[in-house]
Amino acid sequence: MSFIKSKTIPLVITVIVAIFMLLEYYFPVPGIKSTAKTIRDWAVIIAAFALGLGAANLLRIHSLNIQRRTTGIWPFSIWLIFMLLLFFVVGVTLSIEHTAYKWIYQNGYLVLYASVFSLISFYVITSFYRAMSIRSIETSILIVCAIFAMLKNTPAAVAFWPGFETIGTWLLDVPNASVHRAAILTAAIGSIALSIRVLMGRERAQLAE
Amino acid sequence: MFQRIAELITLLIFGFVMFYEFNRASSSASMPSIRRLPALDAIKEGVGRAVEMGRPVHHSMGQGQLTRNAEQTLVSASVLEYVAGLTASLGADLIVTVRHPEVLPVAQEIVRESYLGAGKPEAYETKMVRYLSSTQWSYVAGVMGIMQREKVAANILIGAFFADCILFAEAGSRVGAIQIGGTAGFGGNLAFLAVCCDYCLYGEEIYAARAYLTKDVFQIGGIRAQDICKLLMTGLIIVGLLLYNYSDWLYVLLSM
Repeated sequence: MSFIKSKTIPLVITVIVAIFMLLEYYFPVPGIKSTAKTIRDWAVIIAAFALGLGAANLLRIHSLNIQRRTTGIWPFSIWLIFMLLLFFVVGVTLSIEHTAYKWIYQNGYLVLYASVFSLISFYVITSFYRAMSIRSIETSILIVCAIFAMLKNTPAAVAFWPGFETIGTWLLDVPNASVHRAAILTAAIGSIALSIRVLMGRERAQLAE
Repeated sequence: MFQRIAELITLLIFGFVMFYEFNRASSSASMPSIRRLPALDAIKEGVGRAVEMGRPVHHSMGQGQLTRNAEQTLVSASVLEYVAGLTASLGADLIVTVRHPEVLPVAQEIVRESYLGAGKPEAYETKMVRYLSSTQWSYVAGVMGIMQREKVAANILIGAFFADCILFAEAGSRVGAIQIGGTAGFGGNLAFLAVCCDYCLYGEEIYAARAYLTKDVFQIGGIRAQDICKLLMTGLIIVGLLLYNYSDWLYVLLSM
């Protein structure tokens, strides 16, 4: 029974599933399509079960925080568990279409979600400030290019000297686009190579091996 | 239809090159060396620093799932195996944050096995691997909070990251963590990581991580196969460019 304990079965499942997904794309005949659809449905079911596993992990870790009175964390853990249970109870008893659930969602969740998202604008400025310190020839080139790219989008600067737009556009369309395309191409080849390694059973990171 | 046939032929060629290189790797005594990747070398430095400071190491599994952006999640898992092995042997605290619940058991298993492999199964704790949220910005908020509260000494961000990576990296900067990033996504994401991290893996470099860290002959064979495929693609592009631009001349030349 050692093969059950070993990772042979998950590996075989991975390879079979990968082969079916490939076959569905290249040979979309009814038999293969229906099997691939069944596999995809199973993936959704497994992901749904995994969500329960995630919730259990959250509850366990935050219960431990409360139990141990972890400094600076345990009050937030109480709040997290309270909100988790609130969403669960209201959602299950009243349904997620109910006004009460929508109210909690919009006022307790969406506002925070939008706030975190909006932090990007501030952090872009701080990271830009960090990047703009001249340390080497490369960073100096970066700064000059960034200035042109910025001024290209500034109407007052373009009105002052149209060259900003010409040079900025050239920088974006020629050196930037060519490097970008080369990087996308090589990353795509790397991705394909890794997928083939999975298909051949040589890549086993998903099996913790 | 023609596009799919072309894709299938390309895939078969890639598969053949891979197969050939794997066979060659198993029989060949000498394997090519991989060029130095400072970002991966810096992981040891980061874990060592965490031990000295008595602060934890944070590893993010990224925003990828096992179905979408799976290849980058697998890379992150490979790096996690190495990081967990180091934290286990050097005695640093480890925090792994997970966005998608299906990645959670994979990360847990990797960390548990790494601690077992290092001969310290008792040092493994459930709270090391933390599921935070399935939604993007909630996960970001959770990670930022952990970094701020637990004052991580090293922040490892290798995997699929989107616009959020700037928030992870900036939060790490604020607590003075050594930051190692890497993603194969090209939007502004990689630029954000490049600017905010001390060390960065650019694009395809992340796919070489497992080979670089494990020195496994099959993995190195895979990297060589990848390079051969890259050369083939470059050749095809050059041929395509010549045919596109000079097909009239070629026609005249052939009809002479």
